[in-house]
Amino acid sequence: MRIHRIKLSNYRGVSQSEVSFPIQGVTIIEGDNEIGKTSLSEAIDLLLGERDDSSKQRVKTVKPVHLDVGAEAEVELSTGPYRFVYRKRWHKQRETVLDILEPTRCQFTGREAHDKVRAILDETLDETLWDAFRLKQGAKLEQAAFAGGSLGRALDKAAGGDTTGDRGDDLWERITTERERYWTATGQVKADRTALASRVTQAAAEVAALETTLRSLDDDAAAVDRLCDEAKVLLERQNAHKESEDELVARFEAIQSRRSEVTRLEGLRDTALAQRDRMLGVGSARTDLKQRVADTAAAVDEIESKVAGALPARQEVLARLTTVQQKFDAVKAEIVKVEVAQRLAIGDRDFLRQQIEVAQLSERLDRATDAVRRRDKAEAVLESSRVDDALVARIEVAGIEVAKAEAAAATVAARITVEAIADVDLEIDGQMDALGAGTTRQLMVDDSTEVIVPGLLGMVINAGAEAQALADRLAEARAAFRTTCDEGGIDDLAGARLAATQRNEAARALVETAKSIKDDLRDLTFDALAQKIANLSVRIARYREERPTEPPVPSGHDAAEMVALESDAELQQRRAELDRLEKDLSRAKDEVQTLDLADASNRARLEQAQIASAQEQRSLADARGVLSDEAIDTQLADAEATLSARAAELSEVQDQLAAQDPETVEELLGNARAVRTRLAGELHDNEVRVHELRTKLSLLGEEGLATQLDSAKSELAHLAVTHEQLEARAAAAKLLFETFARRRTEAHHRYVAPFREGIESLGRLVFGSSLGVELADDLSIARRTLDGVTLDFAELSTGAKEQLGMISRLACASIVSTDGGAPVIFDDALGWSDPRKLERMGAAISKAGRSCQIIVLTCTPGRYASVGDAEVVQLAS
Amino acid sequence: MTKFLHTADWQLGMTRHFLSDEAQARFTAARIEAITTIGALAVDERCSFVVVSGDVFESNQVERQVVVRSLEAMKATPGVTFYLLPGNHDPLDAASVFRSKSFVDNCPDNVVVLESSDPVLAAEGVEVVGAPWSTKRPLVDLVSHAVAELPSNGTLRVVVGHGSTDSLSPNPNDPALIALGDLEAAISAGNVHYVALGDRHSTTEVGGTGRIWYSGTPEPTAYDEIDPGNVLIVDLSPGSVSVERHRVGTWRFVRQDFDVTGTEDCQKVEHFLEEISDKARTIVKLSLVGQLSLADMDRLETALNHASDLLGALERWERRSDLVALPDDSDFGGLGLSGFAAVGLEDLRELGAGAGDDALTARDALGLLYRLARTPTAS
Repeated sequence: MRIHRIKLSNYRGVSQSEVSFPIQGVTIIEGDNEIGKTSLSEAIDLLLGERDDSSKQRVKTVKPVHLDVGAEAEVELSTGPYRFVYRKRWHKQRETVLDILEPTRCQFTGREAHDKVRAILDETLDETLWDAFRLKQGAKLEQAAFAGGSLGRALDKAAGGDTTGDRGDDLWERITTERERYWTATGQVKADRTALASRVTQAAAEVAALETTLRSLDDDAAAVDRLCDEAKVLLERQNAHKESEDELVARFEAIQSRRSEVTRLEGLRDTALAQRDRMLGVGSARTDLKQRVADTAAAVDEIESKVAGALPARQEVLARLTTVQQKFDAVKAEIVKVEVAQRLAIGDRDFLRQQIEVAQLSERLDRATDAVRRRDKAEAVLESSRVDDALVARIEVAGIEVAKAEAAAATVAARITVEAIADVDLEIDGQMDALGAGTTRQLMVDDSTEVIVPGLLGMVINAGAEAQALADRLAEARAAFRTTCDEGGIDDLAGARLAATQRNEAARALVETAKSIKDDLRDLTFDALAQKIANLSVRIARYREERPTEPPVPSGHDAAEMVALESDAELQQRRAELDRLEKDLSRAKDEVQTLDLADASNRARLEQAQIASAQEQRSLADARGVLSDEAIDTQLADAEATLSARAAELSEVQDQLAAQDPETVEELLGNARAVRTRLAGELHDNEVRVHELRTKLSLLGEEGLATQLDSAKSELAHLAVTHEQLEARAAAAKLLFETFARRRTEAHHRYVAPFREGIESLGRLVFGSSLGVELADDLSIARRTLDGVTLDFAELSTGAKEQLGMISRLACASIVSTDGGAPVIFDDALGWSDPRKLERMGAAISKAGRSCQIIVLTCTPGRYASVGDAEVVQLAS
Repeated sequence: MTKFLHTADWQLGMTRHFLSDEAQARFTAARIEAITTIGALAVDERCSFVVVSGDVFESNQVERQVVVRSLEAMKATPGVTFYLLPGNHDPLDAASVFRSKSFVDNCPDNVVVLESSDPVLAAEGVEVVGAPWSTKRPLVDLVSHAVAELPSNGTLRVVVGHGSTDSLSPNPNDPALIALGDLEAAISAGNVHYVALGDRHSTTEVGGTGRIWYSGTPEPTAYDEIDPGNVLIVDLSPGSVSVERHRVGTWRFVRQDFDVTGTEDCQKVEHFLEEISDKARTIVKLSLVGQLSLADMDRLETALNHASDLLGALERWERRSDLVALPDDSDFGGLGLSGFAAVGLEDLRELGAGAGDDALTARDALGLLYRLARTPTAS
C-alpha cells in the first residue's frame, strides 16, 4: 500500500489540512503540538476501520468542539492493483464516498463503499504488517512479529522458492514426535528404554543363576556317586581291620596272665626280703648295745682322772692371794698419814692467802671512801655553780655585742685626737688624764664628752644623733651583758669562763669518782665489803689459834703453796699404788673362783656317767636273756637263703614276660582300636553327607529347574532381540532428527538472510561495523552482537531496543515493498535515543527511504534533521 | 515271537527359544500327545510292550507337570507296558527324575524303568535287557557290558541301549561308543535278537543285520533332522525280524534360503510362505541375502510379519546386514520432499552407502523417513 494524500476537514481542532506524499522516500511532517500531526495518522485508521455511523468513542472524540459539523477525512491511496480516493464524514451529515480510480473506474457510497474498501484491503494488504509499521509515540517497545505474512512470503521468494513450506513443517513435526518416543527433549535416553535394558540384564542374571544352580546340582549328583564308592571302600577296610584287631587282643590277653604271675612272685620275694632285713636289724641292734656298754665305762674313768688332776693348782693360787692382800693393807695405812700432812699444808696456804686478801680489800675500801668524798665535793660545786657552758657562750655573745656596739659608736663617734704639745693635764668626762708632751690621746665621742683643760679650756663635744642612737645601743648592749653576767653571778667574761671551767671540772670529777667507786666496790656494797673484811679477819684469827705448832707454818704464801703441792703429789703416788694392788687382788680372787667351778662340774659329770654305764649293762643282760647272740646269727642265715630262692624264681618269669614284647603289643592294640573308631567315624560322616545331598537333590528335583532355565533363556532371547530392535529404532530416529535439524537450521539461516542482512546493513550505520544480529524463528531479533559482545534482545538498553525496533521495521518494509507492503509511519519515535544515535538513525532512515515509503511525524524539527533526502512539510495553523 | 513298539528321545520338557509362549505350549503338548498316539498305535498293532531307548525326559530337572502328564499319558493304555531307559539327558544318577518323588508317587503299573542290565521278562519267552546310563559321561560301552554275559537259551532278547555307535560316530575317542562288532557278534550267536537304540533323532538302520535300529524321535526337534517323527513296529521271532516305520510326528521344521534383489524375489518369498501347509505346526527358518529398495523392504517386512503370526515360529536371518535396504530415487521421488528435507535425505543416503554400524543406522533412518513421509498430511 502507498498513501498519496490525506485531507482533513473539521477534524478535531483542524479546520483544514491536506498533505501529499511521494510514494517512495521519506516525508517529514513538522509541526507544533496539537497541530494535527497525529490526527493525520489516526484519520486513516478511522477511515479504513470505522463506518460513518459508528458511535465508538474514538469516532466521537474527533468531532470538532466549537462547530456543529461533522469531522471529515479523505485519503487517496494505492494498494495492489487498486487506487482510490476514500472520503467519510462522521457525526453530522454522515457520508461515505469511494472513488476507485484504478484498475477500473467506479464509485461506491455508504455501506457498500465501506465494505468494498474492506474487501480491497483484505485482498491486498497484510494487516499485521501495516499495524507493525506504525510506530506511535509512547507505544511499548515491542518487537514486531513478522513471521508468516508477507515478510515470510517475500523471504520465501528471495530464497528461491525452494523451501518446504507447510509440507516441510509437517514432516518436521513427525520427525520430532518420532524422536520423542525414544529420547527426552535434552537428548537423554527415555526411561522405558533404560528399563528394557535393565530387564535384559536382569534376565541374563536369572539365566546365569539358574545355570549355576543346575551345575551345582550336577556336582552334587556326582558327589553322591563318589561318596557311595568311598563308603564301599571304607567297609572293606573295616572288615579287614577287624581280623587283625582280634589277633592282637588274643596276644594281649596272654601277656596279661603272665603279668599277674609276675606280681604274685614279686609278693613272695618281698616277704622274704622283709624277713631278712628284720634279722639284720636285730643283729646290728645287739652290736650297738654292746658298744654302748663299753663307751660309758670309758667315760667314767676319764672324768675321775680329771678331778684328781685339778687340786695342786688351786692351792698355789690361794697362797698368792694372801700375799697380795697383805701388801694392800700396808699401803692403805700409809695413805692415811699422807692425807693428814696434806690437809695441814692446805690450811696454811689458805691462811696466808687470806691475810693478803684482807689487805687488798681494805685498800679498796679506802679508795672508795676517798672517791665518795671527792664526789660529794664536786656535787656541791655543781650545785652552787650557775654558770654552764651555755651561759658562758651567751656572755661571750653579749660581750661581742658590746664590742660591736662600741666599735659602731666609735666609728660615728667623733674621734678626737688630742696631741699634747706640752705636758698637760686633761679632764675627760671628769677623768683626769695627764698627757706628756708629744703623746696623743684618742677620744671617742658617742654622746657627749667633756674635755677640760683645767684652767684654760673647757670643751663639750656632742655626738650626732646617730651617734646617740649608737650610744644608746651600746648602753643597751652593756646592760644586756651585765644582766647576763648577773645570771651567773659573775662579773665579767673571764669570771664566767672561770666559773664554767670549775663547773666542768666538777662534772668530770663526778664521772671519775663514780668509776673509781665502781671499780673498787665491784659487786659489793660498802657494807658488804666491810663485812667481808671482818669475816676474813675473824677466820684468820681463829686459824692462828687452832694450828698446832709443829710442823711450823711456812714463811709465805708461795712457800705454803709448795708444801701443799708436795704432799698432794705423794698422796697421788700412794693412791696409784693402792689401785694396782687392788687389781691384783681381784684377779687372784677370780682365779680361785674359776677353779672351784670346774671342780664342781667335773664331779657332777662323774656321777651321771656312772649312772649311764650301769643302765647299759642292765639292758645288755636283759636282751641276751630274750635272744642270745648266736640265735640271731642263725636266723639271719636262714632268711638270706629264702630270699635268694624267691628272687631267682621271679627273675625267670620276668624274662619270659619280656620275651612276649608286651609294650609293642599294647601299643599295636591301642592303635588298632583307634583305627576302628576312626573308620566308624568316617563311615558315619559319609552316611550323613550322602543323606544331606540326597535330600537336597530330591527337593531341588521337584522344582523343575531345567524347565525354569529354558523359560528364562527364552525370555532373555526375546528381551534381547526386542531391546536390540528398540535401540536400532532409537538410533535411526535420532540420526534422522539430527540430520534434518541441521539442514533445517541451515535453510532457516539462508531464508532469513536477506532480512538479517537488511537489519545489519541499516544497523551498522547506527551501531558500527561490528554489529551482528541473530533472528529467531518468528523473525524477531533474538540477540545482538556488538564489538564481540553478544546480548539477548531483552538485555539491551531502552535506546538500543528502540533503535533496533525501528531498523527491523525499515528493513522489513524494504524487503516487502516490491510486492506492495505498507508505508512506515513514525509518530514522534526515537524519544529514547541520544543525539549521536539520532544522527545515525537519520542516515538509516534515509537509506531505507530509498526503497519504501516512510512518513515521519514530529514536533521537534531537530530530531530528524539528519535525514538526508527527505521532504519536509510544515504544518501551521 | 513277539511284537513291540520301538521309540526313543521323547525329550519331554524340551523348549525351543524361538517359540513364543503360545507356540511353546503347543509344542510341549504335542510331545506329550505323541505318547498317547504311541500308546494307541501299540494297542492297534497288538504290541505287547513299548521300549523307549533313552532321553525320555529332556533333563533330570524337568518340571513336575511334564513328569506327571507323561505318566498319565502312559497310564491311558494299561495293557501296554512301557520300558523306559535312562539316557544321557536323564541318567540314573543321584538326581535322577526316575527316582524323584513326582515320578515314584505317580508311576503306574505299566511303566517300568530299566535301572540295571538285569534281564526283565517282558512277555513269555521275551526278555528286555537294558543298558541304562548312570552318569552323563560313561567311561565304558554300556551296551556291550549288558550283552556280555547273556546265555543263549532260546529266550528272545531285546536289548535297549542309548548312545552313538562306532560305525556312525565322528569321535573315535569316546569310551562310551557302542561297538557294532560286539552287537553283531551277539546277534549271530543267538543271544540277542534286536537292539533298540536311541540318541539319533532320525530313524536309522545300523549295520547289515537289520536288527539294530535307531527309531528316531517321535516329534522333530531341529532343522537338521533327516527323518524324524517316526516310531518302529518290530515283529520279532527267533529266525526273522520285520521292522515297520510309522509316522506319528505332527510338527515340521523347515529351512529355506533366498536371494532377494528385487520385487520378484520378494514375491517368491511371499509365495513360499503362503504355500506352507499346517502353518501353526511348522517352524520356518529363512535366510535372506541381498538388497532391496525401501519400498520392497517395507513390503517384505509386512509379508514376514504376517507369516510369523500364522506359523508356529518364523526365524529370521541371522545377521541383519545379510539383507540390505538401499533406497533408490523412486522411493523418495513420490514423496515430494524439498528444501532442507531433500538435503537431509541426501545426507542420509550418503551415510547409508558406506559400511559399519553408522551406515546401518543411516539406512534405518532412511526407512523411518520413508515411513513418516509417506503418511498422508494432516492438513
